[in-house]
Amino acid sequence: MMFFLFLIFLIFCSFGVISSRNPIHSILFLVCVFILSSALLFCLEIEFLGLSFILIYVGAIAILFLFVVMMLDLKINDKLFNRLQYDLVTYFLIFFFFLELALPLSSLSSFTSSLQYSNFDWINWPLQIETFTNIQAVGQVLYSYYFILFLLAGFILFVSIIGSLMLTLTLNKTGEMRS
Amino acid sequence: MFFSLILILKIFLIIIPLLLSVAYFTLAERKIMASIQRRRGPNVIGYLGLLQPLADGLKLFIKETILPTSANILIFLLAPLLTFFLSLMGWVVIPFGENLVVANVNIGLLYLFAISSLSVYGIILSGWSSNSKYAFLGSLRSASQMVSYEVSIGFIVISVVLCCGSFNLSEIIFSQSKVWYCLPLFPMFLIFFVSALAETNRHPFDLPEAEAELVSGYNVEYSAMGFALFFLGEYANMLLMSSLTTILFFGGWLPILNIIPFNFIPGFVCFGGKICIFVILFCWIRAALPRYRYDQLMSLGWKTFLPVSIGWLFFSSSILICFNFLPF
Repeated sequence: MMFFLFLIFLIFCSFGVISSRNPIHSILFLVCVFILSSALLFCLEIEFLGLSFILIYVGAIAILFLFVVMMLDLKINDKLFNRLQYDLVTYFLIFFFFLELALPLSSLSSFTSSLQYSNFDWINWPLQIETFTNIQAVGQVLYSYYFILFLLAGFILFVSIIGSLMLTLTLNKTGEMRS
Repeated sequence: MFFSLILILKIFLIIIPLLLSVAYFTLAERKIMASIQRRRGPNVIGYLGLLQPLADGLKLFIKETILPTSANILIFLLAPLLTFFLSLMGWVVIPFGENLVVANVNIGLLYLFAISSLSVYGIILSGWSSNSKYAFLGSLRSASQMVSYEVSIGFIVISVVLCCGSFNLSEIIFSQSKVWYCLPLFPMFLIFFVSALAETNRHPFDLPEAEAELVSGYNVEYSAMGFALFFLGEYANMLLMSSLTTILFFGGWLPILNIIPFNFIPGFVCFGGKICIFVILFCWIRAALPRYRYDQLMSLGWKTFLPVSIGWLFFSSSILICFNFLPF
C-alpha cells in the first residue's frame, strides 16, 4: 500500500523534473525523486541501500548539482514554440522507453526467472543457521562473489578522481605543478 | 489505535523536553558567556532571569513575518521548516538509557548521517530563495563548510564503528563498557569535536554570525518565526552533535566507573550530564576563541582533518587486524 503511494509520488516528481521551467525547481524535484526511491527501498526492507542512496545522491551529488546551477546565470527560456518542440521529443522518448520496459514485463515470469539465474549454484550454509543484518548480507556478497566488479568500480572512481585533478592543475613552463 | 497513541506520546516525550532544553541552552550560553566576561547576563525576567528564553520566544512569535517581494515564497517558507524538522528527526535513534530509545535500528549511525546531510538543504534553499546576494553567498559558504566537514566526520565514525562492529548506537555504547573510546581514539575525539563545531556552524567557525564583515549569513532575510525556527534547529543540532560525541566517545549512559556509588546514578542522568559538559564546552569556546577566516577553515577541513582521519582509519584497522581485535 505504502509502496504504491510512494510510487505514484515518484512518477509525479519525475514528471516535475522534466516539466518545470526553473532549473532549481527541477533539481528539487530530482531530490524528491531520490528520497522517494530510497523510501521504496525502505518498503522492500533494504534499509542500508536506501540510506546510502540518501547519503550519496541527495547528500553529495544533488548538492553539487544545486551549487553549479545556482552559480550559473541561467536565462529561463519560456517560449511556447521551444516548449512544444522539446517536449514532443521528450514524450516520444518516454513512450519508447516505456515500450521497451513493457515488452519484457509482459512476459514477466520468464523475465524474473532469467534474472534469478546465476552461474553459482551453492547452498548458503551460514544462512541456514543464522540471520544477517542488511549490511552483513551486502558485505558477504560484495567481497566474495562480486569482488572483481567492486574492484573495477573502485578503479573507475580512482581514474575519475585523477582526471578531475589533472583538469584543475595548471602546469608552469618549468614543468612545476601548481594548484 | 492504542499503539499509535503510545507512539504519539513517545514523540511528544522527546520533542517537548528537547525544545525546553534548547530554550535553556540559549539561556545557559548567555549566562556562561556573561560570567566568563564578568557580567551578570540576563537577570530581569523571572528569578535569576530563568524566564528569559520564554520571553525571547514570545517576542519572536508576535513579531511580523516579512516576506521579501522578489523571494520565491514557497521555498522561502519551506526552508526553515525543513531545518527545524530535520533537527528533530535525528533524535529518534538516540538512546537516552538502556532500552530508552524510540527506534533501536541497526543502522542508526547511518540514519543520523543521512539526516545531517539532508539538513544542508535547508540552508542552501533559504539562501537561494531570499533572492538576495548576501544571503545567497552566505548560504553557499555555510553549505560548503558543512559538506566538507561531514567527510572527515564520516571517516572518524567509520573508525569508531570498526572498533565496535555495529552501526547500532546502543551496541556502540555497550561495547564501551570496558573503556570509553575517548581514550584509545583520543585524537579522533578531538577532531570529531572540532568538526562538530564546524558542522553546526559554531564558534570558531561561525561565519553566519559574522554580521560586521560578512553581513551575517543565509538567514539575513528572515524575521520572526522563520528566524526562530532556524535558531531552534541550529541549537537542537548542537545538542544532537554533543549527544553523538557522548555516544561515540564517552560511553553514552554508562556510569563513570562501574563501582557502587556511581552505579546508582540512573543512565539518562549520566547521559544528560555528559551532554551538559559538551554544551558548556560549546559556550566556553564561543567566549574564548577568535573567529577563523573562511579559507583557513576550508584548508583546515580538507588539508588537515581529512588526511589525519583517513590515516587514523588505516592505522586503527591495521592495529585491529594485527592483534586480532576485530569484533566480528
